[in-house]
Amino acid sequence: MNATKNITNLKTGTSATIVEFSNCFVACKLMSMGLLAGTQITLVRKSPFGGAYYIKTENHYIGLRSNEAENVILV
Amino acid sequence: MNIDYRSMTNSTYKIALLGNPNTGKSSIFNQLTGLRQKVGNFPGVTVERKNGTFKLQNSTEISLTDFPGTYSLFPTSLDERIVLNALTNKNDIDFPDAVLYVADVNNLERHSLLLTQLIDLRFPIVLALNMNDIAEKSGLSVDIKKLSALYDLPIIYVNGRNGDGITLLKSEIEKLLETKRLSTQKFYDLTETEQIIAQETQKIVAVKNEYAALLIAHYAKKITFLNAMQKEQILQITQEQNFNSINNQLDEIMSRYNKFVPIINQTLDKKIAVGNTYTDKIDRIVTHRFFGPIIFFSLMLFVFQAIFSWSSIPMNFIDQQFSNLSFYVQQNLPSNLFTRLLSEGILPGISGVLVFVPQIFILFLLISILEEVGYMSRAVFMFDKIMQRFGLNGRSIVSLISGGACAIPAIMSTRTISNWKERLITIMVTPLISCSARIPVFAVLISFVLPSFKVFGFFNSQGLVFMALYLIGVTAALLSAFVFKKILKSDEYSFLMLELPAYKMPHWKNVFFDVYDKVKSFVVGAGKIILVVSIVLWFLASFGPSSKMKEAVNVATIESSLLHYDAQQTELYIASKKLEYSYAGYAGRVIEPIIKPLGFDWKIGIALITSFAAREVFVGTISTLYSIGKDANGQTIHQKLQSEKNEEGKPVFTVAVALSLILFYLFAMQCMSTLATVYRETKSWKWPVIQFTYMSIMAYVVSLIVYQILK
Repeated sequence: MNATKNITNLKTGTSATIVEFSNCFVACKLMSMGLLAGTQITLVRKSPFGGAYYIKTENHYIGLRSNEAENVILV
Repeated sequence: MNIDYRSMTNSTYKIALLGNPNTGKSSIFNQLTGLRQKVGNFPGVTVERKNGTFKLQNSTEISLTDFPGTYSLFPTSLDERIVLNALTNKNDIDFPDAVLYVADVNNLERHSLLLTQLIDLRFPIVLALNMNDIAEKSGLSVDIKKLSALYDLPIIYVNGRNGDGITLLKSEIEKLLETKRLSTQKFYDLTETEQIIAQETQKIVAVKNEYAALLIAHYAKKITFLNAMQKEQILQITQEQNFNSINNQLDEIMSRYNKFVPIINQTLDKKIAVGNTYTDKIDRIVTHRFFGPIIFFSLMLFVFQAIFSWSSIPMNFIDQQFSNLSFYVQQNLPSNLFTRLLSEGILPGISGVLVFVPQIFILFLLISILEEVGYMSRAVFMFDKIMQRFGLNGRSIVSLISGGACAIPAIMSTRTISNWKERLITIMVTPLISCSARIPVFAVLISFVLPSFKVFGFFNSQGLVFMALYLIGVTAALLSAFVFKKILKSDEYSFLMLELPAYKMPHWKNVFFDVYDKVKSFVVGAGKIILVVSIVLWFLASFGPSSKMKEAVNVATIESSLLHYDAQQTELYIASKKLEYSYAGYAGRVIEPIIKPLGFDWKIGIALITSFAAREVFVGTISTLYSIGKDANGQTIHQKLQSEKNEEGKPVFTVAVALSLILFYLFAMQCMSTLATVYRETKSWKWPVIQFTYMSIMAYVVSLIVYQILK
């Protein structure tokens, strides 16, 4: 069985599509910010001191903590 | 004839300006209201409330409230909760007659979520579609006729930068207020459970709209206009229904998207990825693992350099003008108590407030530009992890930087931190960052610690000490934050999830209003307290037990003539003796046993007391105590203090004393206005008291150790 992939597993510069969120609070916030299941995201970079992820969608940029990024399940 | 009752009675219509963050909402606010705006707080909370007025063509007056930017009516921070509270309570003073909704053309999709919630709340709405350069260049456009028909709302293209479309927007608002027309669209149908909950809630709270009732039920605990019993009852209803609030919210969001996304797709000319390649390019360097932090610290270095080098001329100017004015008052008004109060208490008090305006202005100007450009959120992103280790939030970094100018506006800027614990810790430690009021104190004392010489040819030795003092302040702030993190408990969710807006040129009008508001809130907020405390301290320093005071003046007069002092020297000597025998002088003697272990005598004790209103008063008090003329510069103060001997004939200001005193000022909470601000922001005296206590203890212990080692 394939382990589920999330933003923290993504290599910088690569893209993937959101399947679901594994935490409701994170889901609610990110969905109201425009990130939905089916949205394609690209990991732009990790923060200089680690712990945060800078992602990009079609038309906007969002910063996430690792515990938030973990909850964004991708394919 | 249909005459509107309100316009006849000249009362105003209330319009709420709503939208997501980063939509150009404030540009449109500034375009509409110009200088006719004021900043206050939303009732009961300390979230900044910007309100402005403007007139329609038919001369109806509109009161426009700029609400905090929010993604939905499912709030995650205090800022966002304000919106929910105001819109679900028709008795709220901000409950609007109509809504002006701002959305960005490029992001119509995600900006529609909140819009559809507002439509379902049954507000008359006009949608302002903000055109920006990016959309213009890429030729992206929306068929607004079609969209207007499908959303069933009036829609106007506007440009917040140059004001295009604002006149049209006004006439559309006029029409809307006349017709009060509601969109016939409905974007969400409540589920069965939600319907039951909404209906039951409506029995407890007088709220007409079903969707509003549902929102109240979702957030019952945080709705400010409910009493404890109502909250309890609503909670009971949701429990009975096994209501999973967050899951229902998720389903609702999905169902809304499913409804409006197809609508938008029908009306977009073309769907394009934002041509924001320059944002990508800039961020490749600006958030770089290695260059990112370097750029950040270089920027901060530049900011501090700017604060010090650009502000000295206007500061000296303000200082000079006020001492001239005081002198003029003294010379030209009848010599009585009021004249003295005015020239020695009130005017220096006002001067003490205004003298900081240049530094605060420069700091906020630069921060505001960094924010407008889009840099600040990158800094938040980069430092979030480090800040979190210390119990802070990435957003705390903005407050800590602002603390370098003045803790008051810095503490006010913590309002964007949604987690209460992180916000509180930021408030508690920000005053440890050396603010501009400490600079004059350090400047006088530093010369006793280290002479001025060049290091490596171009660094000034004293400049390096200054730098070291700032670093000590920052370290102390972070360590204290860490301790608070361990002590304070919180089960609130802490999150980052932050939008990083595309880089853009600053919109100068926004920068102007932002800086104007902040400087004003400093002058008015802190100014009042500094002024009152200055007057009280003037009284304490000018009056004393009258017989003792007279005696002291007589003795001083005789001594002066024995010592062959000239008129000016005599005056200064008498002034110093008067201060010694004033109430403040007695207070200094009372606290001497406590401060003796730190190396401070009672004269320094007086200065500690008088500088409680504002730290920089220290220099003035010391000058008076040691009979230093008013026009003395740092050099003369230094020479005079160096020659000062105590009763045993040893110099008062040794390296140990000076360093102990510097560190005391670095750590101690010597600022009434900050304490008052903390009270305002935390709505409790508990936190300012804790803050005052922990900082005083820290100051005392550090000074004690340093003095005892060095003496």
